[in-house]
Amino acid sequence: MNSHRLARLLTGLVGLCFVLAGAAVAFRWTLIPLELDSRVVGIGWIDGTTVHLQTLDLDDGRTITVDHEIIRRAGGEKALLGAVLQKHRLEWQVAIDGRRVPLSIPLDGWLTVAALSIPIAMGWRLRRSR
Amino acid sequence: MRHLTRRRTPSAARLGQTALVSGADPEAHAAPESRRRWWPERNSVPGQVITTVLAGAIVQALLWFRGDSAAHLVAGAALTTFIGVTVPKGWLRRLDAWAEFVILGVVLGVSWVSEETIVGPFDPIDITFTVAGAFLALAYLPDWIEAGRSERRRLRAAAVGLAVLSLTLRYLVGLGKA
Repeated sequence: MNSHRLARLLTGLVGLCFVLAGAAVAFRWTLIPLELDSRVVGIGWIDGTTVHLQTLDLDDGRTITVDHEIIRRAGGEKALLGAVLQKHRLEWQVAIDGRRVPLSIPLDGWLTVAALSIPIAMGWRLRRSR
Repeated sequence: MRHLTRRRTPSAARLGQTALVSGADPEAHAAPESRRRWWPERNSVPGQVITTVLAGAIVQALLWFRGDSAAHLVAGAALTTFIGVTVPKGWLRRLDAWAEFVILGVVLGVSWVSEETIVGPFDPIDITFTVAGAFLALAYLPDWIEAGRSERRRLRAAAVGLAVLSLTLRYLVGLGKA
């Protein structure tokens, strides 16, 4: 394999890695990959996301970004503030003060991955058409 | 004496024939009608700008609720274009096929540091969109290496224009502000 083909292959892999990295970050907004046993001490939002992404300040010092859908399912900010969140890693539900709330990948997560794949696909297509 | 060759000219092709033409025959060199297009050539300066803006517009349409992702994409493409047309062509030629990786690495580093400092709070998604913009722009790297001095100057101006567009989208339009 000559260096040009190898470089093209690796460039494609780099593009794929960035789509996967974006998917991994968006997946964290669902809480599914996280292990939690902490109390929520503060709720904020990520600026510039029309409150689609919010932040939870936990008593263990962590600040995690979550999709607004989770807070809505939990019963709103008032219900979540001061509540204890418990879940195992990769568990598709979270216990909020003992109440089980199912987790899912929200539309925003899928849209983010789709949006990230657009420039990668365009870049790859431009390279292929040379 | 003029050299005559048998070629398939557009008019002859319509008749399913070939024609005897001289090297000076304008029809032999003219672009076929079917290939004449109203939009700019893909690798021209306007073509590169339109590609970046189009990608940004699609991202903005998909992520309608936030303005920073498209802004980071355009910024990544702008920074990459600026680097690609500013560093000496000899360096890029020496790096050959690996020039893309080096520039991609530089953009990743700049994006990471700026996200940690001036354009924070740190959000990994912003970095991925910036590098995705760089990945898109780097598809034109061979054209940047072949470009003449004036075209490189126009590309640098285009990169600055894209950077201004990105900053406008991020800070002035304020899409997604709570």
